[in-house]
Order: sequence, then structure tokens, then C-alpha cells
Amino acid sequence: MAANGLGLGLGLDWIGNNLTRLTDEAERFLNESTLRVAITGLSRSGKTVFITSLIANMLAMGRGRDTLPALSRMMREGGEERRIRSVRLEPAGTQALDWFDAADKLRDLAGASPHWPPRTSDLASASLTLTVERGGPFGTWLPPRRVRLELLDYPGEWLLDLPLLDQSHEAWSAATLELLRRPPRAAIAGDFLAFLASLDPNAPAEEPVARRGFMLYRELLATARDRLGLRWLQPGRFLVPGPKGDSPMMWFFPLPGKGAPAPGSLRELLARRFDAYRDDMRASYFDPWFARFDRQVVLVDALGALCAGEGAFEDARHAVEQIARAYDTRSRSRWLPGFSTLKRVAFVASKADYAPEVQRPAFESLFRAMVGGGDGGRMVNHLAVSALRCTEEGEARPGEPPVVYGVPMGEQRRRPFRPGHIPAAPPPPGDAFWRRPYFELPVFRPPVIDPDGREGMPHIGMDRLLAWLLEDAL
Amino acid sequence: MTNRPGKTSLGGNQPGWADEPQTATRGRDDALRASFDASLDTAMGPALLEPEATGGLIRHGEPGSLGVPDSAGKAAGWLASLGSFGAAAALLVLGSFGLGLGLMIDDLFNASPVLGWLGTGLGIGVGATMLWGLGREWRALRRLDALEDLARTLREAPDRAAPPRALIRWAEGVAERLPEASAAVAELGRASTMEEARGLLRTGLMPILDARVKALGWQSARQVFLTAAVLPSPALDAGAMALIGLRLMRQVAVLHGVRPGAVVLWRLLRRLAFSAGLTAGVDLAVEAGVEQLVEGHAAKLAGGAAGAAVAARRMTRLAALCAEACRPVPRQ
Repeated sequence: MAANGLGLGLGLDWIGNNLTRLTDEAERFLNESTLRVAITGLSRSGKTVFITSLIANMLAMGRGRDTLPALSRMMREGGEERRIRSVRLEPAGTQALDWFDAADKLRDLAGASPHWPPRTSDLASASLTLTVERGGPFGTWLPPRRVRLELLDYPGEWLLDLPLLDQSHEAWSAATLELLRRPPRAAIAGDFLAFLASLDPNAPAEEPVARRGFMLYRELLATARDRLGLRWLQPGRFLVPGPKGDSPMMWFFPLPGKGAPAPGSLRELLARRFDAYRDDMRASYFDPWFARFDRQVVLVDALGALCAGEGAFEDARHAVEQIARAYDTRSRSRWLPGFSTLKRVAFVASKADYAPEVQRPAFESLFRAMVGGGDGGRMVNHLAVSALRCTEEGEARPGEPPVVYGVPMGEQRRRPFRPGHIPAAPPPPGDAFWRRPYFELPVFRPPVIDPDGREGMPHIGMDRLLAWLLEDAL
Repeated sequence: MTNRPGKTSLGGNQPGWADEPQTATRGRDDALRASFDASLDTAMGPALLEPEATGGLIRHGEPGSLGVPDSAGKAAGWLASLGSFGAAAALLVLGSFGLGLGLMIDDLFNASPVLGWLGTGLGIGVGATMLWGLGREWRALRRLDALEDLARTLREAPDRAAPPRALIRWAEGVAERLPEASAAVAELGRASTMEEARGLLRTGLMPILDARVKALGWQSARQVFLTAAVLPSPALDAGAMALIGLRLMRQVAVLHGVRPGAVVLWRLLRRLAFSAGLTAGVDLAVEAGVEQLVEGHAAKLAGGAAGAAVAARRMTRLAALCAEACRPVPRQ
């Protein structure tokens, strides 16, 4: 009898658990949506700080701080009093990727000796859950919606490998060598080009030669990045190898030659390694993590490129154009090319706090003309944003150029920074503007912020960007 | 399809923070902006200038505040009016009763001083009992407010802050009613940060509470099932359901450290009716679908007891929703 009672109890529990599971699944299906947001950008364009700022400001907004005024205004538009009830950073769960530790990054930026996060060396992800009230006449009678934002951080250098996926070693070598023979790269490519000139492409494969060529080419890429401020540097993993480190498949370099390489030749070895590298990037990173995104943010250090000179500016423009094209191709359905999950793309000029407010419209206009965009089927926007505002507006004095105040890293007193003339459109090649000397933007110390993130992170334009990016999802 | 920022519905270049420093450049018109551009030598390059005599680190102040809605939700206008109407009716009844008592005592004194004093004693006893009841209600409301304050603190406190004493007190109160939660409460007391405390709360204490709530829900569900299956009249069914439901709400509220006075129960009912959990629409449609499923299968098994199965199911749902309204941390 007792056994029967126990059996009945277990049966009822089983039914109850399954009904609960069923209702939970149905509720999730009806009330929850997920947006995958790709935060893309070249190296040192500020992706990590951007994601940290997004998370910190969203969390602070969920706690009642008006950290993103344009977003809260957008929620109130049309007479609908929709509000974000709460924002929650999802726990790490069982994901295979590194967890993006926003609190740790915030502590780096806000500590007693604040510093910028180190270069990102591997993929990391974070997810936010926004609980949003429904609008409309029946909004109060309906349960709130949950919008999940999935964010991905990764080394910006790797993004440059995206266009490689559709190239062969032959095509890549031709394009790369053409770039190396032109300024500004020609000034630093002498050793590598001399090494190439000494090689017979049809010579038999020799491992020491392949490795020497790889080392020379990698040094060339590092010099181009550090001395000339260039960003179009392929392959990306040569500069940031990631957790796998250097592996034999990476020991290749561009080598001229047309047609099929002779079997057993150096060119054939390099082509095989190029293919292996490309396939590994596709299988390990691009297919699993970069294939499907609903929104994309492309960060570009446009002011840094402008100050670095014509070569760096043109290089950054070319890199962004290539990446945007590669992304566009990959986000489209293989069977229905007109269909793409990527609905909105925001091109963002980072470090807007380096430009005084009076020059920001010209800066945005320059940036818009620099990167272009706006192909069919999706909305494109161009904004100047600072994820963490490190400067204050300087006082305008008649006859003097506008400045912003910032505290350079390692110093305690603020100094005026003058970005100089910012044209509203890219100056034509050879223009007098480009005769200005190379200038590397100073690194300013982060402002004084609450290490616990209670007040979010001061910014410029993050709210406008998020309001536009999430307009149709909230 | 390019969407230029100046032409979006979101307005112009608004500052991100409410305390944006007011500088001379803010709000300049286009002509002034053009004069700025004109004053700039196009060949003038960027430069980091010499430090100024004054000015230390950059501080941007704090952002403005948003009115975050209370998780309990606000009552609709008509319900608030109903509350005012109820308060007015209660005042009328109590006032009439007081006036009637005064007249009665006056009549009793006219008849006999002994009867008058007896009547006075009765009146004082009734008044004292009512005041005691009001005091209980007031304490119960204070307890509910404290729980809401705790929920707000848990929601807003940064991860690295120390757990508030109120959380430990609340958890210890739960452990007094649920001895099986003692270990989880002791562990919670050892948490040094809010991040740890939230985690321990969600993984240690709340599951034990939820299991107990579930058991209470099933117990009431079984009672409702049997009562509805046995009682001959639908009106009696409804009455029994209401009584068992109210008792269930009281049990769940007590479990979570809420004193279930009449006003508190009213507030809980109102919160249930207007919180996200029990609102109509999508959620209710899902529930209705599940109930149809239950009803269909139960009808095959138990004929007339099909309605009873649905009523029982609603008791488990009520327990879960009531627990949701009393939890200091929202379910994830």
C-alpha cells in the first residue's frame, strides 16, 4: 500500500516536472529573444574597453542609473512607457570559450594605478539579459520580454584573416607583395624583399628556408604595426598566435609564382601550409563563432590613422573595407544570397573623446566618407564614440584652436591636447594635409571611476549607438 | 539605407551623462562652428601641449537617476480606487460601530451606572483588541517593506560590496522555520562579497525554499483535487478553492519570513495579479494550453474529476507565484 502511495507520488512529481518544463520552454519561446552582436575591429581599436563599457553601463542602467540617456529616451518614444526593468550578466555556464570578465577589466581601469586592458589574446564571450517591459495598450497585461545580448571579444588581428578564407596562396602572395613594394611598407620591407629575390620559387622545399622566411615576414608585420601604425597585416595569427602558439602550419610567407607549384618545391610547401592555416582558422574560429550575427559594430581608430599619415589612413580604410566585404559575404545565406541575418551594421570611430565637441561633426563626416558602407538590405550608421571618456572639453579661446584636456599615462596633471585640423572629407592623395609629420596619439589615463561600476562608465555616444543598434529589438 | 545620425529619430549629439561639463563650446550655432574651422590652419597638426597650472585627474561625476519600476509592479488605477473605496467603507463601518457603541454606553449609564461601567469595559476591550490587530497588521507591513528593501539592496549592491546584515537576519529567520536550510544559511553567513552571497543564495538556500514551496503546493493541490471531486456544487468548489488558496498563500508567505496579516495578504494578492508572473496574455495562453491538455487526459481517466485536476494544477502554480512575490532575489 505504501509502495503504491510512493509510486503515485513519484508519478505526480514526474507529471508536474514535465508540465513545468513544458511551460518553461513555451514561455522562453514566446518571451525570450537572443541577439548576437559582433564587436569587430582592428587591433587596438578598443574592442575590449567597448564591451566593458557596454556591460557596465547596461548593468548600471538596470540599477536605475541614467547612463544611456538616448536609449532610455528611445524606449519612451511613441507615448509608450517601456522600460528596462533589470539587466543581468549571465553566469559563465558551460561555454567552451573564455568568459569575458567585465568586473576584472573595470577594476583594471579604475584601480589606484589604472591601466588599459592588455591586448586580447584569445576569444572570450559574455551575455547580458535585459528584462524589458512591453509597450502598447496591452503591455501592462503581458509579461516582460527578455532580450539576451551575446557579445564576443577576440584579437583584432585575427579579423584580418577573414578575407583570406576565399584566397589561395598564389593570389594572397601577389596582393601582399604588391603592397610591400609600395610606400609606406616599402621603407621597411627591404630585408624581406631581398630574401625573396634570392629564392628560386621552384627550388626544392627546405625547412630552414621556410622558417627563415616566416621569421622575416613576421618581423616585418610587427614593424609595420608598431612603427608605421599600419593595420592591414595578414595573417593575423602571426602577430597574436593565440593559445595554440606557433605551429608548423604557420611557417609560410608570400612567395611569387603563377600556376600550380611543382611537386616538392618550396612554393608547394608554402601553399600547403597556407591552406592548412586557412582551414584551421575557418574550423577553429570563423565557422563556430563568426558565422551568424544579428548586429555588427565595426570599430576603427580613425583619428589615430589620420594622425599617422596618408599611408596609415589608407591602410585602415582598406582593412575596414575588406573586412566589411568579407563579413557581408559570410553573413548571407548560401542558398538565398538576398537573405542575411545581419540587419544593422554600425561603423564606429573610436576615441571620439580626443576630438573637441566642435570638431566631432567634421570627424564623423570624415569617418563616413572614409569607410563608406550602406549596401543593400541592411541599415548602416556611422558614429563617433568613446567607450570610456578620458578627456574633458577645453575652454574655447578666440583665435586659438579647440583642445581637450587629458592626463597622459604616468602623469598626474592634465594637459591640453589639440587634434589639429580634422577635415570633413578625406584629403585627396598628395594633398598638403598629408605632409604633416607622423604623430602617434597620446595614451590618456582613464578617468576616476567607481571600481564597482555603480555609476557605469562615462562615455560619448555609446547611448546613441546602442539605441540605434537595438531600436527594433527592444 | 544609410541612416545618418543627425536625421535619426534619436535626436542629435546628446551627452551621455547628465553632468556633462558646460563649456563655452556647447550649444554653439553653425556660424560659430564655421568660424572655429576657419580659425584652424588646415596644416596645423595634432599636438600634446604643456601642462596647465591647475587641474588634476579627470572626473566626470555621476549620471542622473532613472525611475526603476518596483518589481512588485504598480496597481492599475481602478484597483487603487478600489483600495480607497475599501478604506472608506472600513472607516464607515468602524466609525458607525464606535458611534453606536458610544450611544449604547450612554443609554446603559442612563439605565444603571453598573451597566454603564460594564458597557465601558466591553468597549475598551473591543477597542484594545482592534488596536492589537492593527498593530499586528502594521508589524506585518513593516516586515514586508523590509523584505522589499532587502530585494532592492540585493538588486543594486555592487558585486564587491559586503553582504548586508539584513540578508543574514532574513536567512536566519528562514533557517528557524526550515531546519534543513541551516547549512546553507551558515555558508551564506560566511560570504564576504555580494557576488558570493547572491550565488550562495541562488544555489544553496533558494532551492531548499523552492522544494518546500513545491511540497506545500502539491499538498494543497491534492486537497483541492479531493474537495472538488467530492463537493456536489460548483459554488462550494469555488469557496473551498479560495479558502485553500488563501491558506496556501499564508503558508508560503510565512516560509519566506512575511507575516501574513489581512493587509499583507491583500498586497500579495495585488502583486500576484499585477506582477509579471500572473499577467494575462502570453503566459496565460500557455497555461490555458497546458490545462486543456491536463483536462483532456484527466477527463478520460476520471470523468467528472477533470475540472478538479485543473484546479489542483492551479494550486501548484499559485504556490510558485506567491513564492516569487516573496523572494528577495528574482528567479533566473
